[in-house]
Amino acid sequence: MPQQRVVRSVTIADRQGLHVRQAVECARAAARFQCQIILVHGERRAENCRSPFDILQLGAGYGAEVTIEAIGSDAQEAVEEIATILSREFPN
Amino acid sequence: MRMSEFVIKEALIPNLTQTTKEGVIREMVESLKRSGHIKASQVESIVKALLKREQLGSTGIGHGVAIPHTKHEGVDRPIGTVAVSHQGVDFQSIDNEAVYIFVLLISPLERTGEHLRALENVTRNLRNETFCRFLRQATTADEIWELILEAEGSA
Repeated sequence: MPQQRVVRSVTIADRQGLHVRQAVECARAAARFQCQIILVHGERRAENCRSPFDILQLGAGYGAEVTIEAIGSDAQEAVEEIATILSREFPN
Repeated sequence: MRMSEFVIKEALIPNLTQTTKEGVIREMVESLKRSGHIKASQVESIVKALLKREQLGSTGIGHGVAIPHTKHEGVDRPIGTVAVSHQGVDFQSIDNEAVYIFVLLISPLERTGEHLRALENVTRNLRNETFCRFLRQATTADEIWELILEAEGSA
């Protein structure tokens, strides 16, 4: 499989902002892929999307734009899955 | 919002006695009640809210750390506490490892931004391995408090 670099921006849809549940779901999802996944919000970067600790450092509130960047053979699928989690509203 | 701004020093628990998820959450909420920051009449409702949140997905975020949290009408500002278990607790964490360090946070219903910033600061401190290692070795509330202040001072 060829290496791919896929970049996509999403808006945080959950009224609570990007917090623990999304961070844990993102980390779990990221762990299923081989590619490197980085999340960027403004000047903050989560270099390791497999770590909820890193993701929570983004401090992305409701309506914030987060860019997902993935590099690897399964980058496309990874970006789509992470984008789905970040742009979803989580029931309280 | 820094940890020292919402963590109640008088409610710190250097040696948890409970060893189950519900037991630990209850012990921490009871400690906040004893410190005078939660009314006795609110304890059950807060414990339930925290457990309901856990059912949606564990707040065990790996590396021996969990951050049970909820929003609740029983508080008028974010409050919380830190507890250490020396034997470890099965918390269904993301990495399936036992949890030794718990940071509990309760925020008012409408303070989403502040809640998020508090969680952000908690995780910033807790991703520091040295901080976690010393925290797990702490045996008194004063030691936990000193570690929190030291972590913030060096942040």
